[in-house]
Amino acid sequence: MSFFHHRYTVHHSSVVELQNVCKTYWFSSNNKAEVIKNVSLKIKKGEYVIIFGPSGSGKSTLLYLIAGLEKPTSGRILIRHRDIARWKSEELARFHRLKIGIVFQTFNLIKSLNVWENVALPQAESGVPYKERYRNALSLLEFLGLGKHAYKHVNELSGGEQQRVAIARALINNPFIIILDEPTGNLDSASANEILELIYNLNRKSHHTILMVTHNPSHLQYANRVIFLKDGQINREIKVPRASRVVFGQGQVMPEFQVTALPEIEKEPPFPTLGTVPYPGETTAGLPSTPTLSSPSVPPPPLTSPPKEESPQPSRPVLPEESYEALRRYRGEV
Amino acid sequence: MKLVDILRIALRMLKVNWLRSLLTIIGIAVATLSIVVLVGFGYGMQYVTIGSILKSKSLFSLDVTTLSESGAATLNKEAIEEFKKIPGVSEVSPVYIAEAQIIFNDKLVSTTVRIGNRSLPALDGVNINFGSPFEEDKFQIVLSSETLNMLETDAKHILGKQIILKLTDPNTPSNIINISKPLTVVGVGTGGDAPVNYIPEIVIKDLNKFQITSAKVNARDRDSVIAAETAIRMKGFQVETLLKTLDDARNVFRWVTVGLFFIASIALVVASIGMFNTLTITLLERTREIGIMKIVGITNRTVRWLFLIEAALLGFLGGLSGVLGGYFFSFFIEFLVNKIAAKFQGIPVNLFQFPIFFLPFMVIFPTLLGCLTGLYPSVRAARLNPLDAIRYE
Repeated sequence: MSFFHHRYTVHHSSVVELQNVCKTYWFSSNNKAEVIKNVSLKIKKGEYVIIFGPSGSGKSTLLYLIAGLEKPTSGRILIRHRDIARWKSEELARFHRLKIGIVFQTFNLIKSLNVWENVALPQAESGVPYKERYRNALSLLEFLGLGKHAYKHVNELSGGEQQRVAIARALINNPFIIILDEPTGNLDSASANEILELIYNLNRKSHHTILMVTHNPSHLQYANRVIFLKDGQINREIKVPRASRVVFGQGQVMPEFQVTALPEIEKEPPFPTLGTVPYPGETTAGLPSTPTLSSPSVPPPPLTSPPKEESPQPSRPVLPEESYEALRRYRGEV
Repeated sequence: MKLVDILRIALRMLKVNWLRSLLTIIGIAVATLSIVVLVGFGYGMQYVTIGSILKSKSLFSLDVTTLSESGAATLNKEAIEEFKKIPGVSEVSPVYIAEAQIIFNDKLVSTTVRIGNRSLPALDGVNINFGSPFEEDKFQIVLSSETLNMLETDAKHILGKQIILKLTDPNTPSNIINISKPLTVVGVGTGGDAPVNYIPEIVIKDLNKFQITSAKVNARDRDSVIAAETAIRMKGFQVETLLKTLDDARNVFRWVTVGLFFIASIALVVASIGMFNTLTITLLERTREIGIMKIVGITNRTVRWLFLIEAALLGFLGGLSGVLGGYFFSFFIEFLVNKIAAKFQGIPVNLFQFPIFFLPFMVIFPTLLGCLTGLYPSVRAARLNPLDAIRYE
């Protein structure tokens, strides 16, 4: 049994740990926004965790805190048992380059570079030789079904393809965790489902630890665990049964989460702006109250309730099985 | 990131906004071109002038004159003998100057003669194109080509012929000293400071009437020039050396060239401000991309270098094309000027000269200037907060 096999299958020690983390933005001495209030949470190796909440709930801020892009006002953030608040900019850059993959709603690709150069950019910084990183980027793009687009300009790709390029870039240095901030927010439903399947399979088949932020309740069945965030606090935490994704398929909301699919949330614009973090002058206090999970109008059906009569839609596989095998090989697991 | 990769990305960035990059490069190139042409012209003038100085005189010759102060040493035969004893001195000739009338073929011309040794024409930097210098014990004369023009004759017709010479008495200008015998023309010379003719001392019976106005001393080599100069100066005479004249000329031209460089540099300053403007706008345009780079783990150092290298590239490309353009442009001008000069029987000259260090310098200088203008945008780019940067529209 190889070292990697041992590393990824046997253990579930926490790779991300938040201890009483608070984040407050001060606009003036008496005007502040408490975006994150006393959040503690643990993410284990190989887990797929979704942070779910309405906009303004602080979920993106929480993600940025874990990614080291924001510093907590108080509390500790331990990434693999090391406090990232103490890191200097060089160390943080190394962390972003090698240890963590970040994917955004707006893809955030560099337009002056072509597709494969975008994917290989983090390796260029690490000093990986040109040919080697070209090969790495190309094989990754091949795995993600973008091989023929490698030399194209970023703008020539569709949204879904661009997001897959962004995911390839996040994967290139084989990070231990992939963080996604509303990765499907700018996509049509077909591409969104493709991306969701891809993320799901990255977790299930090539054992990446995933942390995703979403406000769409129909994504929740993909995760192992859903953390409900409201007004900067963890409201509830639900473990998702293994078969949920198969049972509920794409685009459906599990009855467990149906309460959250209330009109206010669905009324959100189809293309929300990236900034769910309050900007200066905007506070969470003034936001319209969103329905709370603790006061459901309809009691949630028990998980043991039989699934709906209609046979579940089999999800369309995005990539052939070999791709994930190749990805596992890329990670050095096989 | 490795320098090669930074360079690769910086080049790509330049290509994205190619028109703006091109215009910036052209700005730098035009400024560099003007500096190259002007400074090249300054150097060219220096070479032409120094060349003509060197042609007119023997490089290691010294001009000795008396000081104007009272009680200064006088130039006389004894002094001339003493000069000959100074180590490193190869030749010494006294110089008498006399107003003269030359009669040839019933034509009379008023001119000047210099009286001295056989080597005097050479020491004066006169080239004897036809014939030879006079013999010191014979009644012979070396005429200048200008005198020949005045006599309306040429070297072929006058060489070997005899002329009649009359001198003006230096003490009583109304007195004319007639030379008893006619003089044979043995040589015709060109060059030197003024159109003068040369005769040996023997021609004048009563040389005491004349005063030695100056002495020509020739040293063996460069070091002897300085030794002889100090030795003669110690004796209380005034000495002028060609080396010093050359140094003075070089100094003047150095300052002229520096002046030209600074005047042309104004264009480069303007171009640099343009480049600074370009880079600042580039920074604003690329804020998002810088944010993305930082989020995927590009270090602040790399971001800083990326901007610096881009600015340096702009400067380098501008400098390189400016130098090449300036080089060919000066060739073109020189070609035109010489073509026009040839029409008027002028001598072709090298109007432009480029010292070896100058052209590479004019590539490096705009490159460094580019780095300088890129400094501020690069530091600002490195300081950007990644999250703010990716939200920037």
